[in-house]
Amino acid sequence: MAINDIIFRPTWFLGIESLFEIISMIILLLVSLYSYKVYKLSNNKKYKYLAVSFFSIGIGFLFKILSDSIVLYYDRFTFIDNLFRLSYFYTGSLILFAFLALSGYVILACLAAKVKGRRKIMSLLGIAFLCAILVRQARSFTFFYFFEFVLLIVYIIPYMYDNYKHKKNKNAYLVFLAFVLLALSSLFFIAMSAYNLQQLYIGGHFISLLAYIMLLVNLTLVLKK
Amino acid sequence: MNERRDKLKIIYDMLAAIQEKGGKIKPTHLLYKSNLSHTKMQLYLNELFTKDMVKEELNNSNKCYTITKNGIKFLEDYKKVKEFTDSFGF
Repeated sequence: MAINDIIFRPTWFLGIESLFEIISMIILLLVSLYSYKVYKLSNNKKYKYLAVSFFSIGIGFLFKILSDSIVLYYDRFTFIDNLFRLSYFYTGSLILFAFLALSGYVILACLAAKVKGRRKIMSLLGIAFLCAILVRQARSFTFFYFFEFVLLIVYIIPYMYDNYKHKKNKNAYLVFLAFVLLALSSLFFIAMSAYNLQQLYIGGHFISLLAYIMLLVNLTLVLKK
Repeated sequence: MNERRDKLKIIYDMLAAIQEKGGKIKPTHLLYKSNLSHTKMQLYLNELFTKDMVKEELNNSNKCYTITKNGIKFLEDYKKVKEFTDSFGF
């Protein structure tokens, strides 16, 4: 008997999805590392938080890859003695992915909107936690993608657009475009949940990979200087 | 109107001023070149000392500031850092 997958997706896409996630994770960790270097040089705490946010999303992907591996190779997870425990391991990884990814977006949103005050930040993290728990309770990622979409549309994208308008350079445009694509991919995932169309899930993954590639191109252009 | 310089730009201007003077500069010249008040300049200098980007030396009993390897490295990295900070805008 196989694991009862929470995500509505074609089985053939699982390996490709993991590959996309590995690439995305590496890009996020690279951006996080460089952002931390910028913090060390400039002592600007915003870049420490930017590093933390990208690191959080990147490590989130690690748990997503783990959960995908459980679905793909559940028969190889022999160190977990029964399917019941394995399903706990699987949902636990998905909850951790959801919480870490949303926490990363919350930190980014707080940076973009200059949100200050522990209470405001904690309440946003509370919503992120609730959305992560709902992955298990409602057996759906809709709330996760919806909150991610809201954070991107309301806080992050308007800030990145203003930054691009102000700086008018290629790098700022790439970063703005990357976040627009991430919002678009969230929309695809929300629509997938609503219409049960697996093509939307695949499309969403391609768009989100493209968004992370944009971030990589930006980092490469920066390092080439 | 000129934009307010951020911390990174101030540090860059200070280090560039030292390098322009052949890697060594007198405090009064640095004060003039970096366009800061004396108190502000001391604050930034202290940071540059702790990050080992600048050293204080005595030249014939006159105080002067010397740029270190870390300082030169910062000048090289500045363009990249600036590009990165501009792309995210924080």
